[in-house]
Amino acid sequence: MEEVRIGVFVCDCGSNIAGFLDVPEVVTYARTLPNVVFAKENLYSCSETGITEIKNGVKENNLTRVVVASCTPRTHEPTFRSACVEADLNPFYFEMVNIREHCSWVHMQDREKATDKAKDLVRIGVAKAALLEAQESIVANVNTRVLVIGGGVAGLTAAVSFSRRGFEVVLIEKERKPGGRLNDLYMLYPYNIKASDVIEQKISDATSSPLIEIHTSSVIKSVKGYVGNYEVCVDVDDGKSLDISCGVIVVATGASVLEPWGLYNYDGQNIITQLELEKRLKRGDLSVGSIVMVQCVGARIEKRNYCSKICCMTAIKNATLIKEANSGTNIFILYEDIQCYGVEGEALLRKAKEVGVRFVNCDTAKPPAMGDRSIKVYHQALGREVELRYDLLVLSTPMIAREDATALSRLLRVPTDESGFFLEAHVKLRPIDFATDGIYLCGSAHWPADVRESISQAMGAVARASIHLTRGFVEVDPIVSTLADEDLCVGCGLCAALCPYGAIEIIETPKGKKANMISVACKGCGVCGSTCYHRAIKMNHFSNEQISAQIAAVAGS
Amino acid sequence: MQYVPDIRTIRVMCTGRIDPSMILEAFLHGVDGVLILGCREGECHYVTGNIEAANKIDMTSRLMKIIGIDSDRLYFGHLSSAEGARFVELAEGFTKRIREIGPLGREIKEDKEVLKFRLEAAKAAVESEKLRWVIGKKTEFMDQGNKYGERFTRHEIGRLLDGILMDEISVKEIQLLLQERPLSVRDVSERIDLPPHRVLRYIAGLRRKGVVRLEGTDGVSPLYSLQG
Amino acid sequence: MGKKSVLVVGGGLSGINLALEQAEAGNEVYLVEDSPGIGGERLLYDKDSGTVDFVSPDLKKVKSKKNISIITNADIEKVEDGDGKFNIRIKKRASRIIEEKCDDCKACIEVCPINLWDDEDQGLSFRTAIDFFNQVDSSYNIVKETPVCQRSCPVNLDIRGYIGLIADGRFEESLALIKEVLPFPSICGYVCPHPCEDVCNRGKVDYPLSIRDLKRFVADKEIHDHTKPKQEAVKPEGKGELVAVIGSGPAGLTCAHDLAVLGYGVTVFEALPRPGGMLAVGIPDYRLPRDILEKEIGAVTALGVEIKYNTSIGKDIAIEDLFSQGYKAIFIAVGAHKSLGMRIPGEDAEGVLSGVTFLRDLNLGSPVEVGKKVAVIGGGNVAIDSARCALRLGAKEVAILYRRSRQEMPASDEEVEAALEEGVNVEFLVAPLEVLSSDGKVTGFKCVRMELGKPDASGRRSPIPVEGSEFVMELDTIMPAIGQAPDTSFIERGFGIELTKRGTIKVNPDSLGTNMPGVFAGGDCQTGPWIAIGAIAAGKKAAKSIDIYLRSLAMQ
Repeated sequence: MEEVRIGVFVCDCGSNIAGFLDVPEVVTYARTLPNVVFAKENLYSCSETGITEIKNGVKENNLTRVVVASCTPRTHEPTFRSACVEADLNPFYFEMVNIREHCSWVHMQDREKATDKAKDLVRIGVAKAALLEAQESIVANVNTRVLVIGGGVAGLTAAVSFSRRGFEVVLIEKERKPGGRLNDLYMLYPYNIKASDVIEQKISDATSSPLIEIHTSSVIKSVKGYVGNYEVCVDVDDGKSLDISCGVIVVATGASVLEPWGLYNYDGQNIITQLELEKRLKRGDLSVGSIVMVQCVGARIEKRNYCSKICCMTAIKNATLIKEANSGTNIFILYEDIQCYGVEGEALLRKAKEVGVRFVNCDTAKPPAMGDRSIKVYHQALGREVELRYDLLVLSTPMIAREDATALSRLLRVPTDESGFFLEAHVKLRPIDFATDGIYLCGSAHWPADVRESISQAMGAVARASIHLTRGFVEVDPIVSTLADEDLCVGCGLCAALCPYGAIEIIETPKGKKANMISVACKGCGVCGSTCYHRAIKMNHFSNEQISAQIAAVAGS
Repeated sequence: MQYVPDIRTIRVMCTGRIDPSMILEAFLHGVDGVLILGCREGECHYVTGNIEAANKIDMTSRLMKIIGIDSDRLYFGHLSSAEGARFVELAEGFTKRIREIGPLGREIKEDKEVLKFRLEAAKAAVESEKLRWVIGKKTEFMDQGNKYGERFTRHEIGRLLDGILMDEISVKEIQLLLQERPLSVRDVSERIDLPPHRVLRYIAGLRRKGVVRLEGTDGVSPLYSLQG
Repeated sequence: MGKKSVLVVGGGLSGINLALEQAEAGNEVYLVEDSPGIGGERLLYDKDSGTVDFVSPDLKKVKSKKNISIITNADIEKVEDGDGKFNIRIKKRASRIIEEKCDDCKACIEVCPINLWDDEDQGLSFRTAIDFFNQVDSSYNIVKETPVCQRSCPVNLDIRGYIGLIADGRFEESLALIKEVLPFPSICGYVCPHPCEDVCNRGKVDYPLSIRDLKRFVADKEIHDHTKPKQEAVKPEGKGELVAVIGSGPAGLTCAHDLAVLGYGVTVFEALPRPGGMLAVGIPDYRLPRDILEKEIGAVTALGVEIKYNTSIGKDIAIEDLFSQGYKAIFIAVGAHKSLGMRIPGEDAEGVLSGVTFLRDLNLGSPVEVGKKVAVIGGGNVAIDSARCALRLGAKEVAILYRRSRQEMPASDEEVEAALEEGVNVEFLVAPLEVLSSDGKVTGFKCVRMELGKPDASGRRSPIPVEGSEFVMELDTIMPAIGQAPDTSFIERGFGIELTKRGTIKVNPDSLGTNMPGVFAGGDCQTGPWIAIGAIAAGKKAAKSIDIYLRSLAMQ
């Protein structure tokens, strides 16, 4: 066994550390610790001089492990790791001890106790350093083919954008033809573009591209692999199954629209949804004297507590279009709150009011009630109930997550939120990524989105995914879990079920079922290791032995 | 921004890395309290790491109650990496509480032997298969349900867990005792303060698994020892 | 002698030897064993000697014999003896293990969180819910039992589940779980006689869990908390076929509800001007508030179920006409509203009013009068309800006469307690002999004291009159409440549905189908008077059968 020779470098950080605790005493103490053969005080460890001192220290003393006691690893861990590399030492033979943020800065009043704590922290660091192991960074090639799930406006946009960047795309659509929701819509707000024009253009762009392969009536059956190397099996329309290898996956499965059976006597005839109104407008067979629209039907209730966001604009747009075509039509919109964000949205609302669409603000506590061919609503301004007769009652219902979204989320091993929509990695910082590398999200699959938003999200997803595709390989920190003892593993699958990144799969081996760690996809949280009931999993750089040694060192032994 | 200099830190990537046996190991080494700090709930940097950690920490603190150690000695605090003030608040609050409780072992009249014995049994329990399996399955059982589609409520899981903890700690205590020398049911019963009929049942269960065997007799009492 | 088949019950040492002998003799042998594995006593694997052979049934041989079929984990359910031949029904419990996949690693036992007393070992040690019977046989099985409360519930409600959710404070989920099975949680929360609480294991420690009241709590909570009526968006698939339900009691409405959810068009025909059947006209409103009843029935009509009131089958519409009007199936759930007579002299006198009629008139708001002194005959809930209502209507003295003792009284304990509390006088061990009258009006009752004899077929001790103990009670009103039967006059008027000897409708107990294709019957009219939850269970079963029936029609 190689001899462990630890060098400890204690940083003054000018007066940031040395001003509040006794650095020379810490250095002297470090020399007494097991395996420590060299200890030195640096004025600024991170400076050119400090780095040189560390490199020389390693070379002159044949150090095999380096401990730097200075500041937070967030800033300078990479710096010191590079120093180790330059001194021909594996970067993971380095351990950093924070005696500034965790010590000198927060115990300025008590020099003695701060010094004691610094000594303890160094001891804990040295205990781990003695057990450090060399690690090599993990690299995998990236397959540059792309899988897009969903052939609506978001999916088509993504597919076309990928193809324009020169990547091959396979697009999977569940329905018999691509186009998604836009196939049913009439005009798109805010500028009243025909939905059919938009979607036909997208479909023709996609079908004419030699790089895009479209499969309709197709459903994802299984997903295996990790970023750069996914293997997806799809049931395609002729009853066959198709295996697709791809590097990244874009989820653009859209959403469905709530059919409000049981609410407001919905029947699909004279009482219809906003979507059904669009279909009628598209067919052009709408001639009625009076229309009442009710907003937030089945939305913003306890069970479905979100705002579907696009229905106000849709209702306002449809009402304005009808009113403009026939000014004799009476249109009322009953609402609790109006959601028409953005400059164009506000303008459309003003316009609707100008052309004579009437808005009635309802009281949440007194919801509209059905009469005979009429709807009764408490008018807040009038302070009494008014009865509105209608020929057509249009219910604005929310977009809801597709029924099969949960099944897909399980296959992809990505999360959904409490309403069943797909959940992004971070609401602000990573809004179109999943936590799992290599899978991206756009359009209404994520949250009710209008066409503009779907298109921008699709383009964003393409941009994010292209980072991996263009680079051609993925490289990750080797702080990952490994199956340390294959014989202990019984292939129970507990680790695979708990891994938030899908980085563990259960495979058949000659020894039976075993866990297989996909290191490229692993982020190193360690949940698998702390759960495994046979303790067969080891976390690199944070192993049980290393942490145990640190725990023992806390107590001074 | 200053706080008490009584805390020593060990860095992990995510609280999800924390194995319950590490917590008990720390107590075995004589620390008076273990403070675990992780992301805010629902904001885990590693998606679900702190949820799994919470399951394990909850189990460990139930176990501490069972072996007579004040469960306030273990605390799971949540904060984001930008919340220095909250860190100080948690560190100060925790240290204050530990000072109130006093040194480890005060709860059980500072009997160092008993403390060590119980902690070792507890550590063996959390390292054994059953507890690890149950706690690993907890999330799935509560969110998706078991093989039969039955979803467990928090209440049911808690009750189930307490039962298993009680069984497992007793079983591990018996195993620790039998490790020293062969003992009769009555001897074991006296040493760990558990009624003889329960000890017998555990020992019969251990025999069935092939962990314990009949060593001989002392008068008319059978003596049991650990299987080779 | 030709080849015979032989049943050996018991897979222990002697059972196995017997089976082997019989097999040697050339007989076809069935070896049935109650426990999950054969081999007799559960053997401990002795690592020291490496053997289990101190009693050595020849397991290998018995397993390899072609003419021995081994059926483990099974019970003998029924033995029919006929003409030198036995017909035997065996119930095999599922082992819940796929044996081909099991490689005997025992990891399942290590990790199973459930500890049970080992029933194969007389409770000497623990077993986990999954275990093997013995080492040699290695037949693993999982013990999984439905809780007793759930088993006792006619609709098999997941009681443990919903109470657990309440304990967690997840009230809405709890109610949703109940509603998966039970369309009327609030009604049942008020009136269910809770057979589940009778069997609750907690009752052995102190008192059973208040299962019914917990249900009422979550159901009421929804009704009280939501200003908006929260209607679930149910999406009927629009199967389109029409089904007629006769009677809007718990059986009829449940059936209508389940069929509407499945997408059928349902019309309910109700003879009375109000829906609910016995729930509305049998149970007094102090026991079941009418707004609760209306709300829960409203949830059924909101699904598109139409109720036609004041439409008596056989009177306003002939049952045959329903088929010609396009109904593809009929569910008869007319209940049991016909009061049984006392069969004693003087019964026709003015002032004799059956309990059922009295409650119905009262609940429908018809004018009802009771005299100052009232006697109710009978010991069921109808008797108690009638007595308490009579008291509320202003009767000065109300007595319940019951021919057996308190122990045998079928009415729920809490109802009897309440009646006593309110001042109803209950006379046990008294039977009427004759109604006394003058000018055709009731003046009193001639009664006799009884004593209890030997237990009869129902297990209750039958009452025997005590000679010379006759006495007379002075009364203004007499209410017999000694039982009801279904009013099947509409059937007797020529519609060929078979009845049982008891006057109830005869059905196939598995499907609730009558002898006429497409006609189903359930609830009190099929069982005789029983509890609401029983009728609800019948409604659910009928809906399932009708769905199967209509789908098979569509296939033809």
